[in-house]
Amino acid sequence: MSRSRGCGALENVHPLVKVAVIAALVLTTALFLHPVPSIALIVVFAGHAIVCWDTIRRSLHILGPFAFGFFGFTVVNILGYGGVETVRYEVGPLSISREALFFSLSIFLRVLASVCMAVLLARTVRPGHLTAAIDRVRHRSSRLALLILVIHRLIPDVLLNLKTMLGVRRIRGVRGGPSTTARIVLNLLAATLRRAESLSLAVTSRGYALGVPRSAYRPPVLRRDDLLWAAAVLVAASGIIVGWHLSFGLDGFLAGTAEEASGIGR
Amino acid sequence: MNTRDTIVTAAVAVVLGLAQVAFGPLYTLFAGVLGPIWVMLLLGFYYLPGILIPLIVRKPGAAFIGSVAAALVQIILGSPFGILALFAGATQGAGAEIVFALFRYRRWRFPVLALAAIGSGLAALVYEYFILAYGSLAWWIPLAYLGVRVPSSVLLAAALGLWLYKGLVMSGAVTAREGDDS
Repeated sequence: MSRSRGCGALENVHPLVKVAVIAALVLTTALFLHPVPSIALIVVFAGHAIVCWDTIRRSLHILGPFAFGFFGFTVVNILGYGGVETVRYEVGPLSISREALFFSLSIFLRVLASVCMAVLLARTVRPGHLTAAIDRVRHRSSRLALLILVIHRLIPDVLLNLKTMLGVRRIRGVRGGPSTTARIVLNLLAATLRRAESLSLAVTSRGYALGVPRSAYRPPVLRRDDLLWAAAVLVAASGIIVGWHLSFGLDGFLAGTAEEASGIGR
Repeated sequence: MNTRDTIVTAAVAVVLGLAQVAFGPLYTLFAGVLGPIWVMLLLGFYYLPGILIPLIVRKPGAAFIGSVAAALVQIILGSPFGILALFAGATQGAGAEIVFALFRYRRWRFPVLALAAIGSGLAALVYEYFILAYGSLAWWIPLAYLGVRVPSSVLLAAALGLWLYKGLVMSGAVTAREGDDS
C-alpha cells in the first residue's frame, strides 16, 4: 500500500515528518520579511508540479480564488505602508514607494508559499495515513489519539450525510441561500452528534478510558464499598444456608423424634 | 474532558471544519470584491468552533481543543491555509478559552459568548500581526481590522453559535443545561 496519493519523491516521506518539515518551513518564512525563503518554497512546489502535473491541476480551484482575494490585500499593503519611504514611483494617479512594493510583495510571497505548502501536503498525504501515523507515535496523548481517530472515522460519514441532504433538497426543489446553508449545518450537526453519542457508548462499553492503554480493558479496582458489599452478600448467603440446614435439620430431628416416639410407643 | 466529551468535540469539529473548508473559496472571492478590510466582516465564522464546542461540552479546554480539531479537519480536507490554519485555530481557541476561564466555565449566556468571540478575534489579530507583519502598516489599518472584526465575531461566532446550540437542543441532539440563555 502506497503512503500517498500524489507522485514524485515526496510520496515516500513519512506523513508526520512532512508535516513537521512544512510547519518549520512556513514558520521560517514568517520570521524573515525577505522574500527569498518564500520564493524557495514556491520553486519547490513548482518543481513538484512539473513532475506531477496532476497535483497542480487538481489544486487550481484552491489557488485561483486565493490569488484573486489576496490581490486586494496586497493593494492595501502597498497603499497603507507605514515605514520609511525613499524612492517613489508614479503609477498613474498613485505614488508608490520602493519599500512599500518590496514589503507587500514579500507578504504576498509569504502567504503564497504557505498556500503552496498546504496544497503540497494535501495532495501528497492520505488523511488515513496521517491519522495512523499520529496514532502510532510513542508517548502520544490518548486524548489526542482518540480525537484524531474519531475525526478520521466521522469525516466520511459527515460527507455522506451532506451528500444525502443536498440530494434530498435538490429533489424537493429547495433553493439555496444563507438560511438554507445554516439549516444544512444544523442538520449535519444534529446527525453527527447522535452518531458521536452512539460511538461514545460503544467505546465506553468496551472498557476504553482515557489515560489507559488503548484496546485494553479497565483493570478492576477493589474499593471499600466492594468489600462491604461482598461481606454483606456472604453473610446473607451464609445465613440462608445455615437457616435452611437448621430448619431442615430441625424438621428432620422432629420427624426422627416422632418416629422414635411412635416406635417406642409400639 | 472524558471520553464522551472528546468524541463529541471531534464530531462537532468535523462538521464545522468541513463548513469552513467550503467557506474558504467564498471568503477569498469576497476578499477580492469587498477588499481586505470589509471582508473581515465574514471572519467571525472561523471563530465558531471556539464558541459552539465549549457551549455543548462545557468543560475546561473545550474551546482550545475544539478550535485546533476544526483546524486539523481543514488540513485533512485540503484547506489552502494548511499549517497556518492550525496555528490560527490554536490562537483563536486560546483567546476564547481565556474568556471562558475568567468566568470559571459557569456562565454561558450571550454576553459571555460575545466576549469569548471577541477574545478569539483579538487573539487572531495578534497572531496575524506577526505572520502578516501588520506592524509595518500605517497605525489605522490594524485598528480597522480590529474594528470590523468585533461585530463579525459577535454575529457570526456568538449569535450563530447560540442559534445552532438552541437548534440542537430543540432537535434533541443536545440536552439543555442549567444557565442556558433562554
